[in-house]
Amino acid sequence: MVASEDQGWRDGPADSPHVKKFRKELSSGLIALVLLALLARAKGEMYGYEIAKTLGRTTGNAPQFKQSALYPVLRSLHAAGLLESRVQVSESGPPRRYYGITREGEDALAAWTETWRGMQAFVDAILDDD
Amino acid sequence: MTTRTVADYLEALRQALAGAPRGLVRDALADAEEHLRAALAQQPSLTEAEVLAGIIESYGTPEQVADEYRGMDARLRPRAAAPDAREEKDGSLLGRFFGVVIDPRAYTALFYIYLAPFTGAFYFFWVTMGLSFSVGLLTVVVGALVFLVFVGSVRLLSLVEGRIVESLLGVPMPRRQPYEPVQHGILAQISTALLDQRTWTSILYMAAMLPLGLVYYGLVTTGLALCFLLIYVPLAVHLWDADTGLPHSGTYRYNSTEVSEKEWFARMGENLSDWAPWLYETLHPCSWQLALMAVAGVLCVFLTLHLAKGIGVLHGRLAEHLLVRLPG
Repeated sequence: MVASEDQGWRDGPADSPHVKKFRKELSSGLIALVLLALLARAKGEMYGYEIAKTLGRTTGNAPQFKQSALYPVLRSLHAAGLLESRVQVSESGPPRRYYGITREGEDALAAWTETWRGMQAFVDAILDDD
Repeated sequence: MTTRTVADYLEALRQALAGAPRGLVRDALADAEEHLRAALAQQPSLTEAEVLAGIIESYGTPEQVADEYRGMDARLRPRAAAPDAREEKDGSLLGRFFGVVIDPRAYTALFYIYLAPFTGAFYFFWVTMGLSFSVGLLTVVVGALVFLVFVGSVRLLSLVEGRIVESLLGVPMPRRQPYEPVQHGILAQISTALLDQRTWTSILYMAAMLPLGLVYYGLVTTGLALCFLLIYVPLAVHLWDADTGLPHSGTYRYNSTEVSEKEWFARMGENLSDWAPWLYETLHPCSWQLALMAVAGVLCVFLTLHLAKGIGVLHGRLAEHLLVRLPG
């Protein structure tokens, strides 16, 4: 038996090299947006695994990216001042880094959301145009 | 390789990341370990192998994670720390030689070289003082405390130096420290610090920074001074009238008196021989030799920038090996 709750998030069925490449190109910006949105909605701070689990529950059987992709993006958002973080030492394992959104992060989220919606509407309009 | 334990997984990930910057490898290993151990802690009823089998599906195989980190790193790192792709693309030797003048990495390396004697002096002072105090006081309890504080300060300085090296020399440095189990008791902490190879390599780096910094400073300053001399002398002698300070008009004047070209050069040669006799004796500059000197001076600027960049690359590698420890 394996940990079934983790199985929902994996590469999609159309996992051709072209799809992989396209997904990678899309993902770095979108993961950042998703992480900011998730941490803005969260009641408090969250650590990497917790964030991955929450996103996994949302995406269910339509996984969009590997969980390992989250960590570099979290670090990059932290370096940009959009997230704050603290390390909590654990007796049983490595210390966990907890992340929370900053005021600057909330402002960035609002701006990015607007950009994303505009972009999404534009792409949809092109794709749906028969 | 079958990954039945977290240690197996981390080893496979380390192998998959072979050749990547050590800072990136350490971040990837620290992230994976935090994630996998958190997953294990959440599912205590399952064995390590069972949890791993499930989590690899979602976190990625070591190869996928390595691929992800290499790609993400190139996209997310600040521009200064990203590898310089331009030079690799431009294969022409001339392009590479002259391209250095617009390469920001050459100027950041130059800045690092002029900073190095100062940081080096401070590091040297700090490690010699810290080590002397620790060893001197080791017979009493306070010596052990001083040693621990000293080791802590060296690690902090290593992090600061790592950030400087990353931003100025473009060597990616880790954002995360490797996981170390919490040690209780001062003796356990001291023995961990003593056995940690990074403690000693960091101290070595700090102590070596002063002589290295002075050598870098000396080399580059000599280069720049030579460039200045080679460019300035022909300009001063040939393009400007040394007497009036105005652009050369074709008539040669010395002490407000019109003189022949031959005499003018002879007079200027006397002046030159006052402050750069070796140069005058070697060259006995005449106009074509002066023109050649100016060309050599311009080439010297490019060579010095290459020298600075080269020192930056070598020093970056040294810093990476002495300051960054991979876990395990």
